[in-house]
Amino acid sequence: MTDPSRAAARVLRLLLAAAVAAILAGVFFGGWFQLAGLWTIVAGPFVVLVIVSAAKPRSRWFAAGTLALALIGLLLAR
Amino acid sequence: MDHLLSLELFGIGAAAGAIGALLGVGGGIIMVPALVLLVPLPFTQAVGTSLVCVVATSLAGSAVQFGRAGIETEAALELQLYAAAGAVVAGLAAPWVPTRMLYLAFATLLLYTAWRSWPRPGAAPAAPPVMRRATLAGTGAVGAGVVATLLGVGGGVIFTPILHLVLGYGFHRAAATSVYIIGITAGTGAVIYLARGDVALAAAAPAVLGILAGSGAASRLAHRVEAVWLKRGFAVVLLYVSARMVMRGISGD
Repeated sequence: MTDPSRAAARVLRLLLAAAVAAILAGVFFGGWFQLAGLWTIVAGPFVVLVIVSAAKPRSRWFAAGTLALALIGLLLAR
Repeated sequence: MDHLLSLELFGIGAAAGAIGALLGVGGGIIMVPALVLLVPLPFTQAVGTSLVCVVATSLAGSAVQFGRAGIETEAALELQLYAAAGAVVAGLAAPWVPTRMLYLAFATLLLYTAWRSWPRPGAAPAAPPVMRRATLAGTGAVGAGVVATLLGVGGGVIFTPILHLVLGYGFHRAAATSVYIIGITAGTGAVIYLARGDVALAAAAPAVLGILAGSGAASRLAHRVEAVWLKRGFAVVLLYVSARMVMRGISGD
């Protein structure tokens, strides 16, 4: 089984590369790419949260609570 | 936004990313004043933009620390829940909090950070009794979430002491774990500001690229710089920025 910390590190590097590519594309193709890049960055910690908590039953509840709070914040802000 | 300003934001982002990677903080204490004083952005937009930058700092640092298995994930996941609760409340309340009060609160936070950053000889403060640790850590994390989201910082200046002084982790491990926690805290706040349209895309994009470049370079150079001199320089910068923010808070511009 893959170590969650190493998997998180790999996913983070991929997300960062995707975000940088989108932000740079925004210079030529407009603000939508920049917005996509910034949302990719903001989503990063939550993706990692799911990966590192998956292997630990007690931690899953904390992770689920954190994700629920972020979702509530997003819905109320809109 | 003109190219010169984009270059300046890239440079400031690089400095913030480097300091974040070296000291275990998010760099918001540099980004918010820079965005308010240089661009200039309204305080609420500067906070939203800075939160996105803090997430970028956290991601770059966490990618390195997860690879080295340097993060206490169980403690981080627990503290993140409390911090996210504080962040949601503060993010939703932010438009109704008076701007002048935010400037002065931010200046106070900078002064406290400068005091904490200045290296001094002597014994570390005694850890609190075990039974009070969980309550202290949880309460501190909620407070950190509120402060971080209202002021556009990551809260690393609060999380690192919680992990080191209250929960008893070694300083390097506490700083590494703090870098990861600030990503969720700032991310929860950033989601709210992004959804509300309170993030300046044109300012955030070059700053984020600068942060990623700066934190990457700093991670490689970290062992060559003496921490004492780094902390002293950092404290002096904080004092200067704090004075500027106090003047702005008093004048109400």
